[in-house]
Amino acid sequence: MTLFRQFFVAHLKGLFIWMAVGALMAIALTRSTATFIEGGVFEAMPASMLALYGDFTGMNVVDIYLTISVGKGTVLIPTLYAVIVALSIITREVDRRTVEFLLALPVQRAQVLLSRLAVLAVNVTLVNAVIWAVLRFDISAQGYEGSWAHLDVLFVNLWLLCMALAAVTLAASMWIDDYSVGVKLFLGLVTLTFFLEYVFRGAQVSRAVRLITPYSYADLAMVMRSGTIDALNLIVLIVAILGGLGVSFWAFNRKQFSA
Amino acid sequence: MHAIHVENLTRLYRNGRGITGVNLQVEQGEVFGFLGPNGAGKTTLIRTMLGFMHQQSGNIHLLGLNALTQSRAIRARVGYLPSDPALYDLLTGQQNLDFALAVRGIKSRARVKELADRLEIDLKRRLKTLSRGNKQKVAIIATLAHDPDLIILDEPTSGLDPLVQEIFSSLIREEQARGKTVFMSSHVLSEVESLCDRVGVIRDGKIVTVDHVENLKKQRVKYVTVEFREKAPDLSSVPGVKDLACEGRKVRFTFHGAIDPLLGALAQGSVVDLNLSDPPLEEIFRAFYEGGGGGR
Repeated sequence: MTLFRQFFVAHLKGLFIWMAVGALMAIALTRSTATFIEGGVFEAMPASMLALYGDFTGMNVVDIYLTISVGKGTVLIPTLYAVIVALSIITREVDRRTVEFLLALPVQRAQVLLSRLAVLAVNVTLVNAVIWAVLRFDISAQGYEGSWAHLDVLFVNLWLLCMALAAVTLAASMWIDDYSVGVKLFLGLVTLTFFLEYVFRGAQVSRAVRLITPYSYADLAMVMRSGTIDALNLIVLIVAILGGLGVSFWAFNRKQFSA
Repeated sequence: MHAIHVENLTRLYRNGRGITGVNLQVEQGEVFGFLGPNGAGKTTLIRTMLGFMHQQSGNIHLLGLNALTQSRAIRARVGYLPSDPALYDLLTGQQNLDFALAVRGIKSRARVKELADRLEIDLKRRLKTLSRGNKQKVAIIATLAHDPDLIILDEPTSGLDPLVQEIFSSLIREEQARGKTVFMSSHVLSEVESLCDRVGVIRDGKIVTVDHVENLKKQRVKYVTVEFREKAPDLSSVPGVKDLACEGRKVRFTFHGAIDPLLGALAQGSVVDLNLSDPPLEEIFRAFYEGGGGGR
């Protein structure tokens, strides 16, 4: 519990900042709800542009707006945050040499990793929860009814995506001892793949090719339409989480902390 | 049971450097000095002992516990002070110490307060606002606050001003008086000379010698200066005389060995003044690096 509390407190300021950014972005989107829904924006939008956000066949306009609100950028916030926290678990400690202070204490390496992963999971949940709550309750408060149960599933999918990205980042970070290099590399990759997903959709690239971008494993429109997560996406995300964590524990236990 | 028992330990880096076939025993209650220049393998040995790095071969037992399989139990009883300690900069000194003690399951802060008073450090300030010397003081408290049985210090006084170094030395002496074992690597030879019972010298990853400080001192040469009333006799053939230099009636040389033949040779002249001095431990240390062995 001490290890959990120490890491949680160390991330408290960052957590509030990311929650605030997520909430503000979500509020900015929910405040435009009436404009988009009443103004017939989606109806006027070319089909090819709408297709960038997914396949909305048979969906009501509120659900389309919810999907686009999440996909337009709010999804980037919890995923970037997950990657940053993942990098701070070990790489930042190594970079700042506090890992010596930590590992000189009577703790097992697995304990350190587990406590920090717990903080990662809690914080990622909180950032996602704030965005979900704003979208869910602010749009509802404006008198619009969406498929709220489907929105809940969509955020489960997003949470899994965040954790998968974090697990893979954590695993890779075991070989990166420079925190700033890690942050630049992974934030760059995540942002790049986020936009690549749009490019692929715009270019109507096949699903098989799109699978190289992590954001393709959260098919927001499909989740909002069906209320379920695609089986392949679910399997890949769970495998990525378990695989990433497995490699992280294995590599951290073997990691040599030389001068 | 030895406090430290290292047996045939090898840990090499990819560049071929590291430590090879290191054997070392440190008795309980002993203050052991570990000398060697940068890159000799001092920190590698310490890090391997603490489980930061894993050995490629050999065994390490600290306080009777296997360093590979009982590392956690060892770290509960060991205090470690790195050469350039890094604690959490955004936390205060007290918060850093509270965290370390909480992990160790220690509730009392009496020892922390006592050490902070001795070292005259304000623990309420954030680490990032402290000077290097003050951060070092917080790290010293973190090393000693849980009353460890074995204290491992890597270049402990680097960054400390002389006054604090003196306080630190007295803390080490007190720990030894309480039966604690201290293993310290250092470049400050005078510190090792004054604090340690035995000294180990490491060169190129291998232990060159381990001996009592007193024995090492006995091995070393004497600096001799003799002034004669008249012309100095020829001392070049006296066994043990080296680096002979004559300046008129004054003769300087280094000497190692039985003193009788030297006295006999000096008696051939009329001695006005005779000065024998001990070179510092640095000379022995240097001899191990230049000559590859003890003495000259």
